[in-house]
Amino acid sequence: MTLKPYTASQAAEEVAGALVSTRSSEGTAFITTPVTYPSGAHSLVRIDGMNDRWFVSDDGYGAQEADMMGASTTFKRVARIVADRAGIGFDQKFLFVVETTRDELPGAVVAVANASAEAVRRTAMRVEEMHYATSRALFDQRVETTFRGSTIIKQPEVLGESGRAWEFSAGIEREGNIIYLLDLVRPRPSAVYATVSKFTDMKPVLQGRKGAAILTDYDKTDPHLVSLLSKVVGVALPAAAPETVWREQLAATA
Amino acid sequence: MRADIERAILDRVQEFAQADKIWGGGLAWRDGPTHRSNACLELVAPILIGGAARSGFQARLNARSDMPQCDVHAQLELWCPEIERYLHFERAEWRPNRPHTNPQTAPAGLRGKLLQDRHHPFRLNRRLGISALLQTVTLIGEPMPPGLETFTQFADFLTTVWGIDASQLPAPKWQERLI
Repeated sequence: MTLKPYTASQAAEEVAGALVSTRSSEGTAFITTPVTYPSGAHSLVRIDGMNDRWFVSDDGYGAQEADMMGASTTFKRVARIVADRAGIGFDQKFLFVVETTRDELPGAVVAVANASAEAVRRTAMRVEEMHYATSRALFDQRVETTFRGSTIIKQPEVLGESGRAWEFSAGIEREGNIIYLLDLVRPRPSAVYATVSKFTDMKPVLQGRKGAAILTDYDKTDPHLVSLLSKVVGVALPAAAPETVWREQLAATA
Repeated sequence: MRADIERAILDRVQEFAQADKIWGGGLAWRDGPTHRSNACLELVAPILIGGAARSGFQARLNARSDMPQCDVHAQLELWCPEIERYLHFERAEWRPNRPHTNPQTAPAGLRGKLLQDRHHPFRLNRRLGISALLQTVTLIGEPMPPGLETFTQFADFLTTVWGIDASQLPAPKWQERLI
């Protein structure tokens, strides 16, 4: 017995059937398209109407994909631009929508599927532009974890050798004395200079070390200024560094 | 340093994914965000580990009131202070309206696979890095076991893969009118 060959024509039909499907009820139909969102989910287009008047929309699935990314605000901004360029509407309910005739229906379905996917793709690109820029909250959490059991003073004012009082982001206190200082440093050169000035005016307090400069955004800080900070302060590390790195680097006091 | 930070974040997500969990309340469906379709329903519930809420850990489920017994999306979410965003993982889609196509980077047997009911486990998606947790790359999914005909059965599946008693999840408030 010989097996019937599986032909290119059959394969093409099977692939087309898998990639495009339809479902309908009471004046509404859904068309699954081969267009995909960044997550891999396929774009679905909804059509409502009869005879020569049709409404075509993505039924809010583009907005749902953005919601699942936690990026609704970005999506709202981006989607309007994409809709304008595609010549279709984008309504208050975050739906891509177009009104069309029977003749123009296939083109409208393609336009809506593409626009919805394109808007989510652009949203994803914005989301990907993440920085390990960190908040004061992360700094506080890392300090708490690293110096657990010690007394942590937030924003202490410490008198420098020059007689000027400097404010740091945090200090570690033992037996009534601040023995270690931490300063949260933003990438701006002026912020780096301020931290360099503060630590230059401090005496080494523990094993020749003064403290640590904690960088809010390591990638955006000039590498030469990071080097300068480490020279003056003792150690410079990103706030987003893992807790293990914080403990290793600040081991002298932690 | 970037690689170290990313590894630490992925390790943390794995720890949360694998931990035994209990609900922290809030197991009720409500209307979805105002910007979404009127049919959008949402359930967001905090999750406790070791009796404590940590790092904004929560579950998010989405459904449509006009589509009973289908199109339910569920995922776990964890706040990541390093990038000041929620990370999303263990996404599952039950009887979705839309299929999913796996990327060519998926392991053999799953590569390029077109899936309907699907689960995107962290163990398969960790290789994609933080992008998978932001859902900005094509996720790797595997089919759910067959025979999940009701929301209750889907919840039982979540109990297995999430490590939490999902039988406590109420079914969405579906309307009588069907699309």
